Amino acid sequence: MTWSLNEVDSLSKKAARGSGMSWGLAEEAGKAARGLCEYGFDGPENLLSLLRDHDNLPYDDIAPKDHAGVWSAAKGGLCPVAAGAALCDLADDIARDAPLQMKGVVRPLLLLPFVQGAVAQSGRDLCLCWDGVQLHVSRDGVQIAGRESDLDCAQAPMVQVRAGLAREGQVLARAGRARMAQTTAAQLGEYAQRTYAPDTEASRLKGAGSNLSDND
Amino acid sequence: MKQPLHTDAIAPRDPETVMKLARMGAFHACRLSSMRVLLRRLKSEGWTFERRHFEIDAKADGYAVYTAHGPDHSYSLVAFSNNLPPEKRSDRVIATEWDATFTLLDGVPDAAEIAFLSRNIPRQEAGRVTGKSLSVSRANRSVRLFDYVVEQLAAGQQPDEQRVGDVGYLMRTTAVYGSGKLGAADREATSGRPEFKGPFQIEMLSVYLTRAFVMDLVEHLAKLRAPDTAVALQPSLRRRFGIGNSTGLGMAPFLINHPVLLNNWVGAREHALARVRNIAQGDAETFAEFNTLLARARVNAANWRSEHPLQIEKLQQLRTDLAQLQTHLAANPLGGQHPWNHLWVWAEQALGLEGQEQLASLMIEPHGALVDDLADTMHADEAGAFMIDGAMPVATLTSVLQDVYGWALDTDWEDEKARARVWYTSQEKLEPRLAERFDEPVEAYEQPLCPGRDAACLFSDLRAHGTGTVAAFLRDHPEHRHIVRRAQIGARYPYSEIRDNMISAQMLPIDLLRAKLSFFGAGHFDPRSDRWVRINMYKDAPFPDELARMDADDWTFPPLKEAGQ
Repeated sequence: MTWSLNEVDSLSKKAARGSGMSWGLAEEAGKAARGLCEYGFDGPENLLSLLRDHDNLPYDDIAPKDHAGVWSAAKGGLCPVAAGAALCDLADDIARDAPLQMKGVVRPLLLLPFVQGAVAQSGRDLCLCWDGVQLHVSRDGVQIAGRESDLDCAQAPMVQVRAGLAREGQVLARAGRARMAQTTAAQLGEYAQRTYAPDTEASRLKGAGSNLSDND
Repeated sequence: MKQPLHTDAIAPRDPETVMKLARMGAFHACRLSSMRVLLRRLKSEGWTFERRHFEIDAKADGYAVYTAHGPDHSYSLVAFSNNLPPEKRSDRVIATEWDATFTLLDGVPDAAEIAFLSRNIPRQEAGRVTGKSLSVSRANRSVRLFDYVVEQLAAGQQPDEQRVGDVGYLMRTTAVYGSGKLGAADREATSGRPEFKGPFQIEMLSVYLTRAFVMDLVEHLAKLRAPDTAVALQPSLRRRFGIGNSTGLGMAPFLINHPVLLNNWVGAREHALARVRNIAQGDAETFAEFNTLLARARVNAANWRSEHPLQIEKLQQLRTDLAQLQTHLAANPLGGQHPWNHLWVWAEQALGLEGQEQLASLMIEPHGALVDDLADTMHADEAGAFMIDGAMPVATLTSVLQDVYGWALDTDWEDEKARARVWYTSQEKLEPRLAERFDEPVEAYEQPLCPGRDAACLFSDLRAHGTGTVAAFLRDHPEHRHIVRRAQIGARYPYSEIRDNMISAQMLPIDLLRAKLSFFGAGHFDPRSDRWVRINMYKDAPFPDELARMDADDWTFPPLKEAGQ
């Protein structure tokens, strides 16, 4: 069974919100999970893993702090959604001079859609790399070089975003549908559940209906 | 129609005027509405239709397949009919069974696909579909009309016209899901096809074929009941049946969550109105056509039924406004310089919101050659508007807020009445609901559906933050990220933001519903509460088999003979 990209976006956004992200960052998380699916990656599983690691942690602990061009979190792993959003917001400046470095990024693959956003915004090619893998991002698409097994890295000690000088590696194919394991969907669903209010008989009637018959 | 002399001195209306809930709750369908755009295309491209299967028994159990063939693609409505016990019938999203369920399929289904769909479509949310399904929907019978019409036809008689008119449809759809819901194809999967580039064309095609199915079903059941005496509906009476729809709160957040789309819908209609107002000199033929349309709009208003006190009041206003408009035109016939603008300027002073918005649709109606191209501007690239411009100075964002959310910055948000409501999603069936903030314990579950309040909070924090860029501000204030995105969209798209309070004690969700449904092309809005509305779709439109030989573009207002004129 495959999923629509819209389903992945919607479920991921709610799950991210359920695990404590602000609405705006949750929107970014949804788009990121969807964006990874558009290249055949398991965006939902990457997001789920992040939410497990960072469940309900304060933003200030996991958001990027800039120390002379090196971003790191105040405590533990750096959130790729918070860092990715910050990176997009700085699209025009990113990698203009020196490479941007990020320490201890959890699920670094989730940065890819944000780097794509920054490329779309600035028009400049960028290279996203960690461990032994490089992703070259241009407006035309994404090329991958190096060790693909490192894509699934749970936490990268150091991630670099630099001007993408060389276009090399295998061109990633686009996917129109998303793959998401039932268990992943169910677990994201559990986080999403936290955004839903428990029902009462009064809320059922007052919240959406009326006393008039809907069967006439 | 002759191409009129034209200037562009008169600008489209100010969003501060247009994007108010009370006015949006008075919007009427117009020739740019999705249903109208669809039927124009089906007609001009010579689409053909066939009923490939109709396997339904006397208890109404079975399935049917209707296929529409366009220039490059075919689409099939696969319909499952169900013998539903009356006690299970509900229009609410909490229902689990329906009289009929549907999917619009890309292509023509084979037996295996029909078998797969038969296991999933009747279950709706509890089922799954593949990317070949473009929409999933369901409909319930009108208890007031369905059996009566079957009985009449079985007895060889036509149903009473008055009774048909009072209800207006045999079934009402209670949800029409598209855009990837339940596993269906994403909008992006087919939006490259000309027929589905415009908004909601898939859903409107599905509903159009659903109407044809329902009419065939009622005639089929009559025939099975009394093979010797049953008759078909007389064609002109048959066309008076639309397909109903029952819409609840779920649709209200849609408008807030799709600001660029909202902008493009409203913008197209506003630009159409401005183009007509800019016509320097009209012609007698168009004036005559307009006067006929006005007479037909009065018939429409006279036939429009509702039991809801708010709507009864609005209908009264509409009828009075239209009568006044006709009187005005008798004394001041259209003509001279800028005839339409003169009429419009008069109407803005003389008519209520209902009359003004109906007049806008009426003025646009006879000017197809001048405005129909605007339908091509109504789709939205929402992904393209998602990115935040982090380089924007805080001072610029502050002035954007003052421009787009001026009303909200002037609102006293400490006043409980200003924030009396909470939008939330219920755990059960994920139904969107509205609660009283100070009576019900749901604030912790609040959805971000009050841009005005959020903009006011943002404004206050921006002031405290001082100078710098939006990027730096958002690093410290992730809680404002969603409203910064909206505000920046609001700065680029003038009609993207509703300039009213979505959580005030006075807010009426039905205003949001009506605005959206008017852009679909619906009529006869009939609120059943402040948060639930029934409508009629495709009433008086030709059926698929009639499209080739009939006018596909003249059914928003009923023919004059309906009122015996």
